[in-house]
Amino acid sequence: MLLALCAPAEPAGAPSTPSWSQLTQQQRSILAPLEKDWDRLDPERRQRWLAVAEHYPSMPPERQQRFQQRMHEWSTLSPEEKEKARERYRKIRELPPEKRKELHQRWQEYQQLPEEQRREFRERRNKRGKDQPTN
Amino acid sequence: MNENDLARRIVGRLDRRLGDLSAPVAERLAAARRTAIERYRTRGPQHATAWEWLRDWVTAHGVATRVAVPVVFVAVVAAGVVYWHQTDRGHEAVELEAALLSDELPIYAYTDPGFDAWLQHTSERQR
Repeated sequence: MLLALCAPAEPAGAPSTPSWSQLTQQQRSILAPLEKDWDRLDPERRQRWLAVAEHYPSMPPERQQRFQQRMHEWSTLSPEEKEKARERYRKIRELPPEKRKELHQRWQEYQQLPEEQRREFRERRNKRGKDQPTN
Repeated sequence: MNENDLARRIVGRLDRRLGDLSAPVAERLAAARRTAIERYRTRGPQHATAWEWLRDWVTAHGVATRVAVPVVFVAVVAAGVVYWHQTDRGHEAVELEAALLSDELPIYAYTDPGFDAWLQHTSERQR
């Protein structure tokens, strides 16, 4: 019993792993970008999406739009990439607003670099990562 | 005279009077006692409350139980705390994921190792 209590918690509001046709109309509307892949997702991922989608109605419209645009991209990432993204986002979220704004500007600048240069930075970081494993 | 002395005197008086009982009365008393014992064996002691049951059970099972009950209680509370903590972390992770997916920065900004390296490179150049 104690082991059962200590088992990893599942997100609240995820009573089962319903197929696409078993979702409510609202859930289908929110998760529409995943319709084609839904029934192939493993139960854990479905429950996770249902839990994440519960936040959708309380988002401002521009956030809702971004959320839906990125769902498919997010579902294609590996668990390691997701964990890395969560970890970085967790740190960035703690920055003061002006620092976050600056980071957004830096991202725009980075996007202006030629692809060749961006690839060099990617390779440099990946090489460093292999030489010196980071946490 | 204290309570014990009084009790002893009452018991002594009752014992002496027991010999004066008629045979039918003694037989009815013996039959009533047998019936009571039989009922106790088949149904066990009746308790008015769960607390009485627990108290009698602990008394019957001795010192080990008196130690085991608090230990089990502490273990259940600890398991509850762990469960609550994990649930809370689960909720936090879900909320974080929803915020990440709807953030102004695209997901790629958090996964592109080149962006990280470029930030480091430019900040080192500015020093």
